[in-house]
Amino acid sequence: MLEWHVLNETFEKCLKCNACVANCPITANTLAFGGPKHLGPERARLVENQNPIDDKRIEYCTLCGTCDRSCPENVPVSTLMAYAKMRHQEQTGSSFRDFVLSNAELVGKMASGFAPITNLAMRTKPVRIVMEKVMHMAAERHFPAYRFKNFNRTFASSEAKAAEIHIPKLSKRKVAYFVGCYASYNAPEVADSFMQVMRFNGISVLKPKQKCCGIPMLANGRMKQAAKNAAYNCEQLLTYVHQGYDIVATCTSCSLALKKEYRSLLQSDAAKELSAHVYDASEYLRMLQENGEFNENLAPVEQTAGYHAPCHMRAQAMGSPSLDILEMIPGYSIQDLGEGCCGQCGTFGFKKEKYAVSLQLGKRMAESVHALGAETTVTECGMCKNQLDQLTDKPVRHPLQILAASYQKAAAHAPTAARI
Amino acid sequence: MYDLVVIGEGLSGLLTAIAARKQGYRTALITKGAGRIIQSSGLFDLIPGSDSDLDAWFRFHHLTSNQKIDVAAAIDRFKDLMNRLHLPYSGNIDHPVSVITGSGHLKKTVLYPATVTPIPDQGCAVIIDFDELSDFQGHFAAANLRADRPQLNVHWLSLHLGIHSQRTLNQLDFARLLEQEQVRRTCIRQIRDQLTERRINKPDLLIFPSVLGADQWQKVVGDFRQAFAARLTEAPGLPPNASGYRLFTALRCEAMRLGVRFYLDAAVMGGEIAANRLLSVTYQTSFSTGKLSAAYFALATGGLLGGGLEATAEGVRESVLHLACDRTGHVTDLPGNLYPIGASQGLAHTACGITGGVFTLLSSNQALRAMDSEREGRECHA
Ligand SMILES: Cc1cc2nc3c(=O)[nH]c(=O)nc-3n(C[C@H](O)[C@H](O)[C@H](O)COP(=O)(O)OP(=O)(O)OC[C@H]3O[C@@H](n4cnc5c(N)ncnc54)[C@H](O)[C@@H]3O)c2cc1C
Repeated sequence: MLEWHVLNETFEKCLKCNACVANCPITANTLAFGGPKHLGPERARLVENQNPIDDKRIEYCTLCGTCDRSCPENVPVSTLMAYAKMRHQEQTGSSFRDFVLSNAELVGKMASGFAPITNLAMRTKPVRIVMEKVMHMAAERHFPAYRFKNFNRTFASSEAKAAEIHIPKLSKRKVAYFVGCYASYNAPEVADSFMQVMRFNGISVLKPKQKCCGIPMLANGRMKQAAKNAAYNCEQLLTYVHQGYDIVATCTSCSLALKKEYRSLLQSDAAKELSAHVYDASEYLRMLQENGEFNENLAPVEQTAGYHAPCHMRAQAMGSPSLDILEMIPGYSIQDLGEGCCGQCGTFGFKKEKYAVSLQLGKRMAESVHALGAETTVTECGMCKNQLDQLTDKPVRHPLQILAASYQKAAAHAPTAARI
Repeated sequence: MYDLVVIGEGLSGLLTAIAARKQGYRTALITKGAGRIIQSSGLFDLIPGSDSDLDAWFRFHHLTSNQKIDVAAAIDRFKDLMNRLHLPYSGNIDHPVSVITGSGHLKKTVLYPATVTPIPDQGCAVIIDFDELSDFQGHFAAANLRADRPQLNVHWLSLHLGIHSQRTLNQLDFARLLEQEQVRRTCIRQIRDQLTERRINKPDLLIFPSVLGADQWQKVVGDFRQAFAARLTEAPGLPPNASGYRLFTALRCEAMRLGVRFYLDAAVMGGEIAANRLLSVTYQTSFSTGKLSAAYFALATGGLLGGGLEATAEGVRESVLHLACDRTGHVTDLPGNLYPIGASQGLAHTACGITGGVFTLLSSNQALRAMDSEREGRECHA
């Protein structure tokens, strides 16, 4: 069984100051949750050297990690929570629904294979009612659409299209793109934008073999499966690291998994090594900019936008690289919405019994979008987008989509400049 | 990449980051966790745990009387900010007022939010408790208040909301519950019934634990005020207090909206100093290490409580950048572009272990002024 011996010491640092409790978005919205202090360090202290205790209340934790960011004593609260989730899943098993939800990749493959039918079916009321009755999925919840032309099918053409972009000097950098389930099956346009932005920066991209990053599994207590995926991805990606590739992801949950979660899941030197070579896409571009390698030939995009920072972006201790990058586009005006968790929380917001909490949580974010009154909303996370799409009437874009549009416009207006 | 890197997310760090952004500094805030502000009462005292006045405070912090203007400016600036954030603060530095704490004892403070009202000498006060809230003990509070205010007619009543919870409820939980209209109505009805039963005619002041709404305090305060035509106050005690939480979230949200870049769950482990200037700080997270460079740095790491200072067998140590300091934790070899703010100025500025909020306001303002004039000087020079 997975155990992390390090945990046995780290929870002792908890002073019960309640900073994690006060900031926890789930605690703020339901009394059904035991709270991070109690289910994290306090529970760990209680069961040390004793029979493990299963606690159903852990089901409400979304592993957003706000507790980690609030704790002044460096207690790895969310990791303790992940172990409590695993314990609960081991004792009670996964419901069919949670099993399905945690298999984002499998679902993506199947749903995109029959995309027109799946999407249509998911939108019809009888199907939704059956889903709620049989699967305990919230009937009112909107689901992201699946694409028949998923990125696995379109990578080659996307690559060919990107190759048509002529750029003056090719960078020495090479990128292995961790696409993730969302950009693969639901939003290949994000992946396309990534390919183009990289190309505009003279960087060639390949798509290594990869499995789901494992975050949905972790969130549903299926830690062993998450560890399996972690081991697979770690091995695949490291072969590219050893050939001088940088690993870049457009989904901030994926990049968090590769940087942080794999280190505690695998506890191996390989995971540590991989972690040091992983970048979020905007973080990568910002790094290029700092090194004077960034293509600054950006055409104006006259638009106002609100930025929603995903929890798993905040967890990466990197400032707000998407804001840094987008602020370089002339005419583009973007402001951080300043709110916390969106409430979708990955698979959480699809679940019938969590749906009301999910909506209530999203209310503040939706209000801030409304109050700002910008034309669009920008966020890196597909699941945050799902909630934004349902709760607001503004179009939601990935930062790289904005950047790609600016580059394309620049190239179209000054074809010679781009071709020199 | 940044003009200013602020280390610490307490009152000092957040205020400094906000003010710097407003002055156009590209600002990052790096912290290993939330500051003590989230455990605090949200009140701004002169010398915590003491009834001393402004003169005593000046002596305590070794300030000169011509700095009085600075203090007034810092307070005005803070009040303006909080008005804008819809969390107005009142108070006058020359006239500390008595407010109630969670224990029922009174203390002096100079700045307090709109959910807090000074305690009068006379009249009728009713302390409202909740059966389901163990962090506040209304009958003790009533006894202590009676001792502190013998002329005040103090009553105590407890409400039973019949709430089922999967965790022990704290004040912040109640603050969120009271944002539900249904819950407020139940409270109002029970208070009315108990007032009638006890033949309490018209209370002048209702005293709650620190629960008067988390985000929507106006609604909560407004409803109770209207129902009883009485003034309202909170008695902050065991954390989390809604009053401290409101201040923290309002400041943090403002900092984010202004574009402060947050590096969270990242502990600063040291810095690179050359020619009396701090060039960069290094930090560590649970999965990475990194470096942030800037023209200026604010050390807002708190004192012993915040983690900026450490008490060892050899004495007090500055534990973040490893700077030399005296036995009170006052840094003695301060790089020219590093500004210690609030509790990080050393133990001489703390009483009962904490630094009063007013000193934090002043030191943040002073640091920004100094940064500005240094920047101007450099620009002129250039
Ligand atoms: C229980 C309690 C009640 C209080 N009540 C009142 C009151 O009624 N009235 C009043 O005036 N004041 C009160 N205060 C004091 C007030 O809230 C602040 O503590 C005080 O103003 C000092 O704030 P600070 O920002 O300087 O430090 P802190 O709030 O201590 O913040 C220090 C910050 O630095 C960070 N940090 C430390 N080391 C590192 C590192 N190596 N790397 C990165 N980050 C680091 C910490 O995580 C934290 O975010 C209270 C404090 C407490 C604890």
